[in-house]
Amino acid sequence: MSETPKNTDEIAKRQETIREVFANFSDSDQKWKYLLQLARDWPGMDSSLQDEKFLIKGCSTRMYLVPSFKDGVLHFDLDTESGADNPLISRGLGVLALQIYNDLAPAEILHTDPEFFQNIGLNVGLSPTRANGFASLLKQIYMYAQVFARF
Amino acid sequence: MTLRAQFPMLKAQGEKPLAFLDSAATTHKPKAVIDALNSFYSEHYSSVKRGNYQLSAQTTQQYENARQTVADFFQAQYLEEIIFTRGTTESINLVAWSWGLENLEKGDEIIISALEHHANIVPWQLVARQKGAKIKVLPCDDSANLQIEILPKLLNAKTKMVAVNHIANSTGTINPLTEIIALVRKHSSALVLVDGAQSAPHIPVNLTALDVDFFACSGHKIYGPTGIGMLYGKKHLLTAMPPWQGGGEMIESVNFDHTSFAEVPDRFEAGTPNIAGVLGFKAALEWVKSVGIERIASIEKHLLDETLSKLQRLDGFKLLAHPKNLSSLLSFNIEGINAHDVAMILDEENVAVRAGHHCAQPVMDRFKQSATLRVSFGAYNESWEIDRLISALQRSINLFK
Repeated sequence: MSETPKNTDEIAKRQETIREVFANFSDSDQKWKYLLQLARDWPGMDSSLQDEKFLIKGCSTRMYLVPSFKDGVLHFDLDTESGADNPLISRGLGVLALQIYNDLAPAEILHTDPEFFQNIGLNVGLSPTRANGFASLLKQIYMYAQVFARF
Repeated sequence: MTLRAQFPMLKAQGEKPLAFLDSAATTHKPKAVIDALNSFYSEHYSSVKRGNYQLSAQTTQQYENARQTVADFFQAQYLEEIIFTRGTTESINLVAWSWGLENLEKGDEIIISALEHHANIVPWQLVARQKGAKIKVLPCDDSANLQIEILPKLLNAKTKMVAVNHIANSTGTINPLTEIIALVRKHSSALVLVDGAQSAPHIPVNLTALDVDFFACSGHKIYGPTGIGMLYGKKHLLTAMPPWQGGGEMIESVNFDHTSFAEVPDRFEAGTPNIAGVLGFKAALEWVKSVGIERIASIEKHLLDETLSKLQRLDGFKLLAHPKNLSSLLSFNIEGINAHDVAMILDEENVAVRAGHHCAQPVMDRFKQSATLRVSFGAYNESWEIDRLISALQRSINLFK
């Protein structure tokens, strides 16, 4: 299923960009504000795509992850509840995950180290349920990659 | 020695010592409880009711002494009215499956309240589905007070069980049990089960005076170990109930055609019990008694009042509901900020609170919230923890501006 990915340089480049952003934060407030900004700038998705079957299970907040597969490339749309309940930090973390994983070949996703986010210190200070929610999102991304790698 | 100093887990450490404001989920353990567990395993360990040797006889004696401590603490009339279980959830399931399977018939009705924890909803749904019984819900008003004036209209000859909590874990409402029980007795012959998980640790409970039929609570919420709890049931009811789990020590005689069952409470304690848990539970109740439940209630009332008045000064603070009688917890949101997001900032500040639906989704639906933050107190909490909570909340509000 997994031929050698062609684009390892691209993934390394994406990870390096994020690593640099987080390395430059001088305090934790900057980290949260950055995630909030990512969340607020994210366009979300058309509400017609928000089907219950795309809700991520095991996440304490409602987050949709919708895959589409075209020309060997796996694309994800992501959204969270709108309005006052919008979990912005979850949403920001989701956007960050897509900065690594979006628009790659499934095999490339499967060759990407999921521990990356831990290595940039993001899980530090995240509550276990939150960490689990993020873990559920990553698991879902890898699951879709595994499924589409067969095509 | 301050109360807090008796809790090894809460010894202040580091720059940001733990501010623990989640006692409604579970309480920390005083040294007296930890010592009891240590002493059992390192000096007195043996099983109960099985060994023909002194050590086992002594442990059996201690185990039964613990039953007496529980009976005295909650003022049960008879020793055999106390069954040791894994906790509130198992206690309610015991009644649902033993009493419910035996006594419910098609068309019978069970009343639960709108403020219940899933543990006092789901067992009834499961047994009702199996027996063709119906669940009715006693509603609450916008301040999360049960509308007990509606109760007489729900009660009738088909009502077999009224299952209600003493204190609601999601809103802190102290329910008017005396009035509820009087109404049930007046308008039906239904039994009353009380989920006391949130009341046992905070207010005096006198089972005989309350005249409840069943009462359930958990050890770990009242400074005892996890995995232990109790079910109180009136003697004549328990005596008439069949066992719900089969195994060792719950029988009188067994052959392959027929088994006759032991008397209560053994009938409901199949298998080797959680002996350490029982002894720890005893130590916990003795600790609470030595402090005084009224003193604990008064400490918590002070903390609650102080917290509420400080929270009310925060931008966007919104209490889920303000019932007439509020116990030692506050369920709230900061408008415009998701409760899970706030909890993440609080966690970074080492302030432990609960964010979520608190296993009470119908309550969240009733108040149109998907989640709240819940702050809850124990005997060991101190004012500085409230200040830490407030400043962490203020930090969240500033971040999300």
